[in-house]
Amino acid sequence: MKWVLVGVVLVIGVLSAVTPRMSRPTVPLGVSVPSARIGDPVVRTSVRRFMLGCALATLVSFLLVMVLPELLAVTATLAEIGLILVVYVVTRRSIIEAKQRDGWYTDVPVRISGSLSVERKPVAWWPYAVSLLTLAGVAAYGATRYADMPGRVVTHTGADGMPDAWGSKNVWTVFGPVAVGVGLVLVMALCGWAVRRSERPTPDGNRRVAARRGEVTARASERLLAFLTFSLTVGLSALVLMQWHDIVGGPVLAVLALILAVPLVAIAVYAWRILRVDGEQRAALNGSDPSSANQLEPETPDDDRHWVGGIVYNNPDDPRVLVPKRFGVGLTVNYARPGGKAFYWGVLAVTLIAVTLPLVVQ
Amino acid sequence: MEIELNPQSDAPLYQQIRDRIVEAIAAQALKPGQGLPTVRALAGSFGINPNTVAKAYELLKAEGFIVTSRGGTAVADPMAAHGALDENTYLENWRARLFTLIAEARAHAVPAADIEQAVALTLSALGGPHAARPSVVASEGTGA
Repeated sequence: MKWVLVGVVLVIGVLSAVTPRMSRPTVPLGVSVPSARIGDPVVRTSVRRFMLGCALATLVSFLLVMVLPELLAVTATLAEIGLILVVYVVTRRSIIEAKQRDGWYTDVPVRISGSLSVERKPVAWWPYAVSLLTLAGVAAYGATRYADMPGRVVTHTGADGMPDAWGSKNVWTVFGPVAVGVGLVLVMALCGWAVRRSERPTPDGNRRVAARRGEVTARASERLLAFLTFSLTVGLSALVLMQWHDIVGGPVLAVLALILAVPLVAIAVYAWRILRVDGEQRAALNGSDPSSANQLEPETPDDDRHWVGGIVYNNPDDPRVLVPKRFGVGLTVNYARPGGKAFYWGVLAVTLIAVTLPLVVQ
Repeated sequence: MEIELNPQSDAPLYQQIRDRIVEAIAAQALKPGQGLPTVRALAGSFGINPNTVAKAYELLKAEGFIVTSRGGTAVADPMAAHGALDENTYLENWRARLFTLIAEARAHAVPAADIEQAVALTLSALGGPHAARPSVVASEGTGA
């Protein structure tokens, strides 16, 4: 259990440290800056300090995991997130101050862009359809074996791959994991649809590279979601089939390891793709790309007032519920919309329950 | 197709949306009968208040550039009636605005040759050939 937490702490630390490079170059640490300022010493120093802070927070959390008793060790991940948030708030402040002090946006032309096109590129639904068909196949197979299954079935498997909880045979205890899989596929398909709909080009100092970044990011995100959906479906199906056939121990552990490792590799490939296109965009904005050198193009406006801490989007005028993230990649919700409020409070409630329930039960 | 608005401009956003759509129609980037996004979708695309887009669409509809039906909003056929304005009123208003625009340039001492060149460049940028109303062709050169 502790080593799983160590892994989680490391993943949180690494993902946080690379987030500034996964974000648009004109929003370092969630602060709007004109493209001519992305190489400013204040920006560079702040980002470096943030990355160093992430490393220190990870180290502290790692030590906490090792020192604390197992039940409290989970709180080390929350401590890590809290520490990284503090580092984030402190380091971004210097960029905000420099921007205001030196009037970085004075006389800088800005534009907002929108699309008059009605048609949108359709979402590739087939990976989700194949995943649903796989689960349907597993459910159909289970239905044929249902009558032969014992009266008590395994409902939980421990970290050693051995069953540690059983329950009476019924539709939920037998087919529950398949139903969870169907829910997962539908949620992931919804995310894929949202990613496709949120695609929006932006001036960002160089329209060509900004549009390319948007296109590459949307395509990579869609592929990642589709791949994660299918690989998790296959992993879950394998676990269910092994459970029905009383296969325990090593094979179960091997599948669990693959369920953890395959998404991590996919996320690493995704991050590499984003970092590569980020490098292209930075090179173009710094003028080192000869095809875009000396271009004078408008910037994305300074919209810091709509972003609380550069993370929470709160714009009552914007009718969208889902908007592209500013710090990192993917989507976030508009807190000013009723759906956005429900999302934030829902996540908060679920987090509090997940953290406090085990302590209360204990 | 993408259009851009300048939030720093003195011109209100709804006016800019109206102008960009008229320019797109003139350049034939938007064709008669072609659908336009819903008010909410276009507002979301810009991240602005839907009322701003609604105001631009109302203006375009009143001027006869777009039509709305149950199926949504679409570019109007230029050979059809200009919405609330009849043909003569539209041309009269257009000539009056053109007169003021040219007068502004002359008041700023812009040479007549430069104005003529700017008009030629604008027509060239909008491309062609365009379908033309007989009345517009017949009245060319009559001045405002």
